[in-house]
Amino acid sequence: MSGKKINITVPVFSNLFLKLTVLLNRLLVLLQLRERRRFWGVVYDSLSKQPLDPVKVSLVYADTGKVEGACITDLEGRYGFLARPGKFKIFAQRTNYIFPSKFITASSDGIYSHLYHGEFFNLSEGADVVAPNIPMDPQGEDWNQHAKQGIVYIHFYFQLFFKMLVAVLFWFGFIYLSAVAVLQNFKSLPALAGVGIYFFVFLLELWLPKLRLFGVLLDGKGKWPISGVKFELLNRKFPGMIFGSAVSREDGKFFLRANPGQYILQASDISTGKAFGKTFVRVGSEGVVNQTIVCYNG
Amino acid sequence: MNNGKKILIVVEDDGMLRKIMADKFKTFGYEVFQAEDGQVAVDAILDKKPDLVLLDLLIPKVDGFLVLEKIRNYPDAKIAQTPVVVLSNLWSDKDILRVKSLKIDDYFVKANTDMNQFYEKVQALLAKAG
Repeated sequence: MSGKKINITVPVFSNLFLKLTVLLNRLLVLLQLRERRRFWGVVYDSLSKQPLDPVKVSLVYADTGKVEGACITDLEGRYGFLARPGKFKIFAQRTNYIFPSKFITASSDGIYSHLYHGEFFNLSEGADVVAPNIPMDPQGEDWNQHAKQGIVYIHFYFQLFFKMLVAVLFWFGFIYLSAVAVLQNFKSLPALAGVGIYFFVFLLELWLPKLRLFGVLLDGKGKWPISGVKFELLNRKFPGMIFGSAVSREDGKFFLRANPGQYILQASDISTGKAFGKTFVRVGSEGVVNQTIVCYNG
Repeated sequence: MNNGKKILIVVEDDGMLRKIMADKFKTFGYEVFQAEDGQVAVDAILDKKPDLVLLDLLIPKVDGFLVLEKIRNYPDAKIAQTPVVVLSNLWSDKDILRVKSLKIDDYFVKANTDMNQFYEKVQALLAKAG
């Protein structure tokens, strides 16, 4: 990064589409047509089903053993990595817990699907974020897990029941309305309208892009990706505190996790450490800065 | 100071994370003590008079908030003014405001922290201390 005056900004229109995508993805998740795992991976206790923290999760190259990334899960057990092509393995480490789980060996466990058990996996070009759900087996009492229940508690069976109920009602509604429409020779307007809404939702599931979990830094004029920029999230209420940081890669992508809220996104040159621009960003319940950030130089 | 080395106390109930941090800071040349709960932490702070304390908030026996209150209200000025860096997964405004009112030197949310950046900041604070 060089130049006299540099501004960074979040373009309104391109991010309006992102916001719309977020809302529609939430609708599809609610209707059980998409899975929440696309947003984050969760490390959880295989017996109590509660999320685990702090778990050190490492993404390691299968061939060389080199660590591509490592992170610590948040209070809700969430983690994730920005993918690169290659063959990988994930390691999860936490005191009083063992991985891989011997209790849960299936590919899904109620509200948790796409479970990971320590196998190698390949990532191709264009992969998004690596975040399978990971069960870990408890090895006795864990003080932290008990203490945390007052702050974060997953109602596993209630959520599972709700998920199944929504799915049953959704498909029952579709079958019922279709049957009414057919039996009345396609003359019932309410039934036809209902079926039409269903088809609209199905089309959404087919055509709506998956919610991305990474942000992108682009040059304002040429729209090419900019690498080597460090982003830090600040909050006006707590000056000097950094709520998250990430560095843009050669493809302009960065993976910046943070808790929901309003932040100041500060950009600085990774090599000099000099800050050159700030902009406001809002982090939603997805817990990542996934906007496109545009940088104007000059 | 102990043998010319600055003293650091790592207060963290998760043994794995505590050991990772303690080992890392030892490689930087600090004398590192570990505390797995709040009571051990308070005793160690009074005994060792560290140059800096790394404090988790959700810890057994005496929580991190109370550890901080005990330090700040201690009659010995050296102990009362001990630099404290909080490393916790708690992130609500309420929790941050509460520890900020007890004059902490920095606050890091574990899940959102680049550990290399964290080590650098702690080293910078230790360089300033004493």
